[in-house]
Amino acid sequence: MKVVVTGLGALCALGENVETLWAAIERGDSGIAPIRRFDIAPFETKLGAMVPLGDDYEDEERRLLAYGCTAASEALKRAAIVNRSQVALVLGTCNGSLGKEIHAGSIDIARVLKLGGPVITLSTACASSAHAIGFAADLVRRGIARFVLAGGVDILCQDVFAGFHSLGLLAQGPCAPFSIHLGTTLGEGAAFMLLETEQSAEARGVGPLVEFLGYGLSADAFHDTKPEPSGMGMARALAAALQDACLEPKAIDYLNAHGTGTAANDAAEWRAIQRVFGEHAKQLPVSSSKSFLGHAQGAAGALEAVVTLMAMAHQVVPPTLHLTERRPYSPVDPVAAPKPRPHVVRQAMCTNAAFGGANAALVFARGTKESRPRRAEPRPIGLSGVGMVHDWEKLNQCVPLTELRGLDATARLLASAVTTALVDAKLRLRSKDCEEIGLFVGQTRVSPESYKAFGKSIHERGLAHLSAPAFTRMVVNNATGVCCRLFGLKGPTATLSTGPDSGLTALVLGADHIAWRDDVSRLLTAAVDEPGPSDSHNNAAACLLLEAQNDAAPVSLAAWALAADRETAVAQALARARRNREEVTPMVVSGPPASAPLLAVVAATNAIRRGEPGPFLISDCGEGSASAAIILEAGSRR
Amino acid sequence: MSLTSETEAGYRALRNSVAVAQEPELRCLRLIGDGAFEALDAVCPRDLFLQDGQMKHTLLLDDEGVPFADVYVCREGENAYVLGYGSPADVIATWIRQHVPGITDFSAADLSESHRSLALDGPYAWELCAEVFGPDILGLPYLGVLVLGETLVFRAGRTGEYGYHVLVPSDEESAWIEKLNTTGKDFELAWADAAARDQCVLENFFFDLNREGSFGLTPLELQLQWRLSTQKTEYPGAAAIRALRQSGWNRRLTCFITSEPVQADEEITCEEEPVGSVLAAGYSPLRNEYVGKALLNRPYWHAGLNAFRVGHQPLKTIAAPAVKNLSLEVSPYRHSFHTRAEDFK
Amino acid sequence: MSPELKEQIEQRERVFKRVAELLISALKLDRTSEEIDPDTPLFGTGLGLDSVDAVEIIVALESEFGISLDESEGRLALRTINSLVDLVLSREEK
Repeated sequence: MKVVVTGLGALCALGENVETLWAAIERGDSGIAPIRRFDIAPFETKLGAMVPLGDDYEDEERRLLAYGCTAASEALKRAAIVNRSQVALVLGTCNGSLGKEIHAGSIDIARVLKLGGPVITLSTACASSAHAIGFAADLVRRGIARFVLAGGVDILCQDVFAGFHSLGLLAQGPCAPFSIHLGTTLGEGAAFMLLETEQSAEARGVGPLVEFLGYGLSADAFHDTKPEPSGMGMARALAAALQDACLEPKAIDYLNAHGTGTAANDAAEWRAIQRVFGEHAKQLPVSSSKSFLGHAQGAAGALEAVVTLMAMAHQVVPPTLHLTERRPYSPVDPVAAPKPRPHVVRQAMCTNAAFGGANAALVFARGTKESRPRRAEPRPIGLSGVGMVHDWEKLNQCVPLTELRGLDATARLLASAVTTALVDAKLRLRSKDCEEIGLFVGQTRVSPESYKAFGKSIHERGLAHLSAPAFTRMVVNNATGVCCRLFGLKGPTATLSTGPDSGLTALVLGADHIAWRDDVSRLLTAAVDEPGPSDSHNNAAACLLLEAQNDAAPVSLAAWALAADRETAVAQALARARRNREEVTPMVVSGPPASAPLLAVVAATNAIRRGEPGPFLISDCGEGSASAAIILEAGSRR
Repeated sequence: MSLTSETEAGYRALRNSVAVAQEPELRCLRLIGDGAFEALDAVCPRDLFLQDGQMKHTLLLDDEGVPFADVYVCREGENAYVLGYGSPADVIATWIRQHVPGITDFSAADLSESHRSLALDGPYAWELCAEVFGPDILGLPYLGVLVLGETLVFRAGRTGEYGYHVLVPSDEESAWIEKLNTTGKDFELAWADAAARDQCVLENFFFDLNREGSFGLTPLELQLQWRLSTQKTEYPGAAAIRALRQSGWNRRLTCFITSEPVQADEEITCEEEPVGSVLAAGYSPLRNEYVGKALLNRPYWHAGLNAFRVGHQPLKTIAAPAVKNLSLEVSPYRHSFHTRAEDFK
Repeated sequence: MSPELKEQIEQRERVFKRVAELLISALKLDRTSEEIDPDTPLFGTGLGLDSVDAVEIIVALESEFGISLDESEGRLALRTINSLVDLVLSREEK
């Protein structure tokens, strides 16, 4: 079964739609210019890649909604989608510093565009929309939705600009990846692609643009904002993507790099590329679209993928602009040219790396390819570790205090739950075992405590001197990244929200990930809600360790399902577990929004361990933008 | 008075380009087994909790809280390494076992039997090492460990410049030395003798077990509190350290400069009263004066006091380090030894 | 002890305490000022601070002491608490 892209949409500094964008790229235009939307007087850098005519909106929410709807509409239209009730939305965005719940924008877009399928929001900082595209493809592969609109949107606001400035990451001139001029230029925009199966497209009489072959994820487990300098973290994501795509490294004809232009990113990325591609890296064109689109933050992955797909359609490779003098130890062929260069591109890879050390790579192909048979059956999943925050001191006992410096309340809560789950599973923190474990987290917003502290630092110190550490906590995946670093978790990682009960969605997506892939067998899935000042910490986070295995497990995840609404999810879970409603016991535990159903999973697991056979049905409250349901039981029925 | 010309050549290379040295005195103990890190955590005063490929600088203390080894504890995969100076590796291994009778599932090997250590230090040490040992060197962060086949690279140093301890298999040592010498010609590489290296260590105020470490002082007096955990209560020497914290300590290592040579143990006075003594001193070609470490009594133990004498000779305390390290200005992302003239116009 | 020396020592102690406590609070360090030696390296080894912390220190110096630093001054001044004390004292003199 092939997953194909049948529609594209984009809105960015170089154009309001894909055609305009591509025409600008063919001319060699750059979208980087002095920022007029907000006051840049306090900063040395004055440049950004802003959406033209994007300045006049009442507020950021409306701007975000407009960008997202424009690009998404274009993709839907190009894909000739008629029945939007079957369209799911998987959207990546970073704009946590706006303080809102991260899924709010996605829900608005889905509502305006009348999309009827599940809506999932990914927030893994600069890799958000790359994660979104990968997960979207999985929704298609699993038959969870017939059509999935995948991509991302982000706006550039003054706070974020000030934050990057405080970290010393902004270039004085326009960003020039792989050149001797260091630093990045921020941008904004939206981009989407419509994914469906090849069969579905044929049935509708719509031709595919490209085939989506696969994706890979990994975590650096190194630092909150800097990539692991050896490139090993990124290399794992690239290798996982090739494995998912069933391709040898030399099959890649072009690589669209994350290429922010910063010293740390570009160096680590080139090392990763060399590790994975070996000799082939010497001839592989590697270019960075940020040289003309800036760093569109959460939208970067999707926007750069759209550029890549357009390039594939025209059999060219996009350039890296502003490259006058190559940086030492940078790509051999960075496509240093003023315009795209003709090149045979059959298979292309897009890479992105994010704050928190989350890495993602996507692989696309043109032309028909023999589809290699994938796993016919999912691997059975067991639960081998559970954790809640009931022992606030547990974290302090397991991790030296010096390592916990700078953790905000959300990160501490998540880390407490993860520690407990790892200890329960008898795993040593930072061990070799942990390196192969990933972490998916359901979380609806940045830490309120950190959001306040960030605002306070701006108020007290001014934008040019805001607290850099406070800014690093303004990405929703900060807590996830902290946990990966603390425990040495280097497997696939994601932070996502569907509103209430996001944790269960994370669990279901996590189960799917390891059940159907071969590159990872264990995944921690968790959720965290920072409590208010008078609320208890006890239920604020929960974590489960999922393990794909061939033998029966003491606690088995008999079935899982994801759908747009609760009834469908429950029905599907029951059907997959071959159970009637009467045969299962619903397990419900009340708790804070993201964590509640995971607390129920913990309770059900403990019950099964005590000898109650189950099966237990855990579903969410049905008020989120997607609904998940699972069935847990003892052992495995054969 | 000044250094021999050989020492000075090594010193200048170390401070301006890159210098190489054999380090037979560097100990390297490898511990493997499930209990390895647990054992080390029990005997080290510092919190370990190492990431893969990470090193931490700590001390091994006797029961009086006096360091007998100045070591890094390193993690590479599931292997632990104790790398540093002081007691020989087998003595350290025995000592560890004595202190963790309950932890037996680990074994220890002395790498000096299979490996030889080459030290490379200097503002462009990174560049020479990348050319000789491979570009993976460039991705190695400070206090990181890298395995290149049978060779172990530990990025650490005590001179304030980029520094690497490269442990090569013994039978490959001469080949690597030849390669370093050959490639090093383009880097003005020089061999640094012990005197040159010791002078750089002194100038950067790094701990030297052979100098100030030989006076029976504790980390509190040696300005090494950062190598002790604020959380751990049980490690060899912890009780002594605790007692000294309780009672208070009244003398401290301080950096000084003076214009004429001074010797270890010479008395330091302030307004004619004895207030401490010289522990170590050496001539600094960069400063063209003498740099040293003094043990001064409270409250004289501060930097920035121009109030001391050794005999009739004035002596002034300063904030360490005593030199501006060129390595602070050199960035592997942007610079190269070969373009240094343009880089630092 | 002569009154001048006494005053110098007291000034050094005062500024050290102020700078140490500034860093402890700005960077949420898990040590008291008695547990930080004056010549402890700040970055890499020693306290093990990183570049994100460096930004905070520079801002804290500005707000507490009114001192502003350019990038290269920063590299030299931000080596140890003692080097920061030297910086504060030198700017106070001006």
